[in-house]
Amino acid sequence: MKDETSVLVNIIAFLILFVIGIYIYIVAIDTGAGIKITDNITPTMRVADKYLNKNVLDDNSTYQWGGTAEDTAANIVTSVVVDYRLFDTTLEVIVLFITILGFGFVIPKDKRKIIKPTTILNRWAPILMLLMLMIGGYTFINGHLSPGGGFPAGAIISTAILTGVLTGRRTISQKSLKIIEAITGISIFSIGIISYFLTGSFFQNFILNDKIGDLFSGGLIPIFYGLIAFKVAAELSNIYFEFYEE
Amino acid sequence: MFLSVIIAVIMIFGAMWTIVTEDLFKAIVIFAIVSLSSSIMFLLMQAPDVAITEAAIGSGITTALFIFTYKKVEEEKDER
Repeated sequence: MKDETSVLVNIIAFLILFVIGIYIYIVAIDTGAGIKITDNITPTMRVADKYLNKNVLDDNSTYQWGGTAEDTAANIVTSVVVDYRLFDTTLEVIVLFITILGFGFVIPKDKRKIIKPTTILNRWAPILMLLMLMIGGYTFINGHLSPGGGFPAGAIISTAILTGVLTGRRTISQKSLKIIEAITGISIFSIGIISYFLTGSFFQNFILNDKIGDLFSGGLIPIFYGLIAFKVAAELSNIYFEFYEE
Repeated sequence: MFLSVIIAVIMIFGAMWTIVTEDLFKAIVIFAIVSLSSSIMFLLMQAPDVAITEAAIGSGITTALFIFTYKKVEEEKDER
């Protein structure tokens, strides 16, 4: 705030923030009534209505609608994300991979010493890492039943490795991270190709007819989520090791 | 609704403080607070999936990367 241009930049930034603040306030007090995207079809004809009417608590509910992929997951968001929008997540993971390739060029590889952590952090780090790994595993195994999914599960697993990096422990070597990443990336696309030959479209769920609401009911959804979680975790952990290389 | 208005006010003031403050480290920490309150906002708006992602990536990993970069920048300053 010393010369005039920085004052001008600050004023413009405050104006933009004011507009964003108005939007946040409107969303905060909005009840969702009156939102209408399509007028010409009734709500029962929408695909979202089919998802919202799934009954998980009934014992005999198998949800026969259409007889295809989207019958198995109890979580509405997961049904849409994995059965219809898996290309988005896969390409996001590839974008993350390219970002990490850029990290290797930008950050200079110099020798750096790791500062000794305090005793409390040193003792509590393994317990925290175990907790993080358990939460991450739960997030992708239960992704088709409760909120969660592959991408946040990978992020949570990589925070476990981040805790290890902060205390100066080498939990996993960089070479094995690259191997994990390659194996998961190849198997995601090979499962996609297998489902293309079995069902006729890429990334389609071909394990069907499970009871909705069970742990092993999502068909391919937990498999895809697990592969995406390990790929994201390996990629994010690579960043930490780029920063803290011995 | 009352809680969400309070959180919106915290987010706006935190975002303003982040760009106004001179200290880089302070800006990083306040940005983490903005991320965390935005994840609470997603939870109040019935989107728990997005809230989990925001809490893990926005306030966990991004803050850690910013702090790593801050330490690297400070070391470069010391060498000069």
